[in-house]
Amino acid sequence: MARMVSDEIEGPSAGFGLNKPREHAGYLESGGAHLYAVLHEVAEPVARVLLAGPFAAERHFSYVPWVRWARFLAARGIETLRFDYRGVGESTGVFEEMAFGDWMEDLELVAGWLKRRSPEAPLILHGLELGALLASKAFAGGLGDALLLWSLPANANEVMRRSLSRRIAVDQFFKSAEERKPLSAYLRQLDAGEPVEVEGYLWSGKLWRESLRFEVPRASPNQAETAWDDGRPLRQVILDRSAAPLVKGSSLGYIVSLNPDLNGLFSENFEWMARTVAAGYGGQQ
Amino acid sequence: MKSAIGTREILEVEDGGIRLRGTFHNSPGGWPSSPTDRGGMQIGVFLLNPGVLPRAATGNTAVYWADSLARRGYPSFRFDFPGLGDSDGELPQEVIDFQTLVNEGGHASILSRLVSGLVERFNLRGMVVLGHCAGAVSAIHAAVSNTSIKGLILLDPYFHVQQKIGRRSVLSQWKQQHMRTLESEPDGSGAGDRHRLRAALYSGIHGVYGGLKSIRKLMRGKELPDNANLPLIRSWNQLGAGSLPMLVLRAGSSTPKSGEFDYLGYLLPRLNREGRVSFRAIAATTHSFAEPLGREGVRESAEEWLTAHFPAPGSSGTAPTGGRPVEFAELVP
Repeated sequence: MARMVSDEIEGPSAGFGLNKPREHAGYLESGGAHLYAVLHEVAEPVARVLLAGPFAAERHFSYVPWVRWARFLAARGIETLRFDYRGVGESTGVFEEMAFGDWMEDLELVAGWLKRRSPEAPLILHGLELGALLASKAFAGGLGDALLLWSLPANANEVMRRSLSRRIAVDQFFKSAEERKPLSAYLRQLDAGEPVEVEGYLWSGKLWRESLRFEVPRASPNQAETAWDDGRPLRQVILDRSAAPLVKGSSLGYIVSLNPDLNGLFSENFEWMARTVAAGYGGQQ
Repeated sequence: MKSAIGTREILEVEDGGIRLRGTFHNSPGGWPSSPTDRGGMQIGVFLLNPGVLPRAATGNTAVYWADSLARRGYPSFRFDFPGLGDSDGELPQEVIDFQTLVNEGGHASILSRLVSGLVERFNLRGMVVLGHCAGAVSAIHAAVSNTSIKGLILLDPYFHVQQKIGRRSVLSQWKQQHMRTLESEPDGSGAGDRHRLRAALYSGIHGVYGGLKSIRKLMRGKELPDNANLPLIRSWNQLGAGSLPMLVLRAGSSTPKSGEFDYLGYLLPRLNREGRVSFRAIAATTHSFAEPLGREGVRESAEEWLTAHFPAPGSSGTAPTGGRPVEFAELVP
């Protein structure tokens, strides 16, 4: 019989009662397109969290635990919003026309929408992988009261290169020797401005070149740091393979851990949020 | 937040206390905008989760197909099944348990209820179900007992029962281990040569292994393998004998390799001659059908097939590609 994993865990913090939040899916307009967003609504939230998800090609691997994380937070009184970037998933827009700046705009737009729901509650930005990069840049610009980063890359190229490596791995086993190409061939193609398809998304040469310059806003925060330059709370976590498929999912469909028990990770990070809120950071005091 | 934009609307359905979330793709402009205006003439298309992926599928292919089919006059619906995507519900911890659930028809009753409910609510003539991989398995299981399902579009359906990784062959386990290594290491600083060497070694071993399997296959004759999903095959045969229109699409990379049992090659010719099963292989695409040729191949095949079998109200009934005749290899994989 299949073992079922429940979202229910031992309650880590007093004062954050478990409840059954409502989930509302809808669209927000951004740059002529519509962003798909899901609000995990809480009646009287102690804080709000904006989840900035990973790069396009990683979305479908990480989706199950990402949604579980949003539900985990909402059940403990933290209203959570997750969304798809333009051209990705359920959002409209043409992926190959997008640039990292467009996805920054998306993040800022949904953050503003979330903040306006109740300005008195602190707003925490939480990014995963590319989302961590976008969130850190938005945070550097003054957005948000606290920042949580999971698997922050040094730059966007690191993320794209990882997806491309996976594409090459798939080619090695599912394509004939004539059809297989090394990384250098794809790089030449991108440098020449020709699009490359990865996980169903057409990467433009422009996006690739831009990814090399799209970097963390300052010297990469290390795991020991607990505050941004201006004192706002910061936490950075490097996720390893045990967090798959939240990170490092497999393109082969051999995702053994479809729905792994990530309650330890969730609890630790929730507790950090709870402490941050209890310390009185952010919101309109 | 808006729950509807242009031709898309978010739907939420409660099934057995679980909220399932999906997207409705309506036809733009000239098509009836309210359910009562449809007059029970339209055929809808229901797209299932491909395996464990969210309803958008790899590279948003399902969104693309649903948009395209809706433009052709086929209102389309994509739903996340329990525990997947945005829907509520529990999900097994391991993929193998999810596959077992699907293989045994565990999603068929939910699919059947969803289809019946949508057909009634949107006043449709019926629904064609588009299932990909595990979704195709659920579609076959559900169609046997639901007369609202008027046809099936099956992408890379499989007819076997998967095994736990520990029970797979040494070669299969080695391949997966090697794939993980490849995925985690970009091919720089000599690693690329190492990977290519390993891949070449794998190809060589696989060739020998395939040869051994071919001998075993010859000895077995035309019998189904031990891991065949017999209840599913019975359902498939029942649908074929009952003349349910079916379109089967196979990705180029899913063509059985040397020594592998070709289920479609075995099953398609055995269907009752009255059966209305069409088959098309789409080359230059992998199992995800997400590459440009894959996504276009599916769209074009589905549109042609739908037009041939279920002409949309107000359409001429001819294939949408400039009147070119539908070219499907009937019953011949």
